[in-house]
Amino acid sequence: MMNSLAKRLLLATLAMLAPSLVWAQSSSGELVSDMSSHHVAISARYVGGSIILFGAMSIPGQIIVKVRSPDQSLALQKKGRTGPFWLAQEKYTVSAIPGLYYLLSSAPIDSLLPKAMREAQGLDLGDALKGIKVMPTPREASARRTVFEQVLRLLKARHNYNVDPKAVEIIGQRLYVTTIRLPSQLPLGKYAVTIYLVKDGKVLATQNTEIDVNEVGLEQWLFNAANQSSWYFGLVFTASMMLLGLFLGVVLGRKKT
Amino acid sequence: MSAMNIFDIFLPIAHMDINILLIIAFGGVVGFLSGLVGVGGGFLITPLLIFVGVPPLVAVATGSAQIVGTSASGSYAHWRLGNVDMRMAFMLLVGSWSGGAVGVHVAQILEAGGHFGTIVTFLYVGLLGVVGASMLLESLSALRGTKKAKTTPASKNNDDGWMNKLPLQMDFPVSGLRLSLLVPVVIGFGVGILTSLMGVGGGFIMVPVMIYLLRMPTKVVVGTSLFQLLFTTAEVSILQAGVNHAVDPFLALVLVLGSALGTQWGTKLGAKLPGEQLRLILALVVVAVAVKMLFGILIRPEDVYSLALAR
Repeated sequence: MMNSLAKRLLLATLAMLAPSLVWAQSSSGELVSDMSSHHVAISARYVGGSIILFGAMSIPGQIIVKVRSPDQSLALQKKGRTGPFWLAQEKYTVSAIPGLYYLLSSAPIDSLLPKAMREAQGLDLGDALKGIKVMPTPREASARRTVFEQVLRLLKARHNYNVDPKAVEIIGQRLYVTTIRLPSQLPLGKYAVTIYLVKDGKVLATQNTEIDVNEVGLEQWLFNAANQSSWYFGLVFTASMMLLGLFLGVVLGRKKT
Repeated sequence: MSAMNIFDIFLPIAHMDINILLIIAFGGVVGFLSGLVGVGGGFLITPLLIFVGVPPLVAVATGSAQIVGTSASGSYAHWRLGNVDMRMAFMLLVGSWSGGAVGVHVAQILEAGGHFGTIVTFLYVGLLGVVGASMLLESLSALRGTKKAKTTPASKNNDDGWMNKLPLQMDFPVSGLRLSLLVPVVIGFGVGILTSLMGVGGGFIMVPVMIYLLRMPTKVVVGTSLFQLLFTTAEVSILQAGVNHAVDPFLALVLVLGSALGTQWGTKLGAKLPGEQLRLILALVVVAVAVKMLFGILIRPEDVYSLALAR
């Protein structure tokens, strides 16, 4: 769970803030939230990270947090038996699908909101697959469903998709805190974070914020170079490998004699 | 981050985390073996990378970039000593550059259909199986003291073979040979295909071909083969980066550094250890890798589905 020091600091801050957050007595709820960071810098050393999201609500209720990354393209491959061998048999390119999709809440979402409301607010894993494009498109509906199911299963297994009804902790009915744990493989771009204040099967308030995920430094430069000016990159990199080889030969050769 | 992760780096092109020590060790072990026995070892790097989860196309492409780094200084040294038959090397390169270009595009087509990994596995099982088995037999018979291998090249001495009947005969003064330029071009073409589909330099094929088929003088064999290998892998590395975006710079860099160190160590130790036992060790390693690759496609995968970033 969360680092206890961070939690204590956070609670102290919120406790000080709470008296100033005196909301007018009204049925419409309000949310005040912030995050420990709005940026994730992906460097060669990045192997996953976590961001603490916390805030206060005007009326006691439950919290749902949705995190959605920009879309990306994935390749789903299926192996099958050919004679004695297990070989790649089917390959689908799945595009327009968010690379990361989290639904974190303080209670199971189906117990908080009716189905129609969940669908309207996009609070369902099915929402992530709404715009999905599969190439080549399987002819049969059952085969299409299998592709969807497998993509979803594998993304969950990698922790890129996550539905956790215990992730949000509610403290003293007015404060909430959750940790957004990010896996090592992340799509880049601006992640939309939406916080919902929910009570009696209704969404009382929402708040939107963002996490900016960027590659930084040398690796970003290399990634861009290798993909956007691939010929130039190939030429320069190969030439530098040759020079490095010559250099190593000279250095190590000299040491030997 | 936990202490276990401090050696993990993110590979920008392979799009995965990998322990940097593991890659240095791969480079080191393969460099060590090549220093010990005097073979290139590119044919071990690619399978090892595939075993730890590097996508096959990235493993193959990065393998050829890595060979550029490891063969540069040796080529330069042989060139300065005049051990390179330039005309022969040029003819081989005409072939291998065409073969490389064809191979890289074939790789692109195979990858798009999802079959590149399968083809690479079969090529490696076949190649390593044959190379490993013949090395194993050779070193075992050598250890028993039966020197059959030495008599074979002499008995094949048929100077008026089919090669002299081919058109476009050409003089190769450095090697003291006259043969059709089609021969090196065709051989080069095959080597270029191998480099682009397997990420190997092909020295283990080139050297015997030069000695037994072309009958080049031993003095220029290693230099000429290294020289053509350097420029073949360089061309393939540029094409793999340009066409397939598959050369991972971090991976290649770490492999070259690891193998440079390993080679130093291997060469020193190799001078002290008995050669035949060393060849046996290498043969066993090669056979083991072939068997492991074969098992990889014989055993039902834990998960028949897999998901990767679309290229």
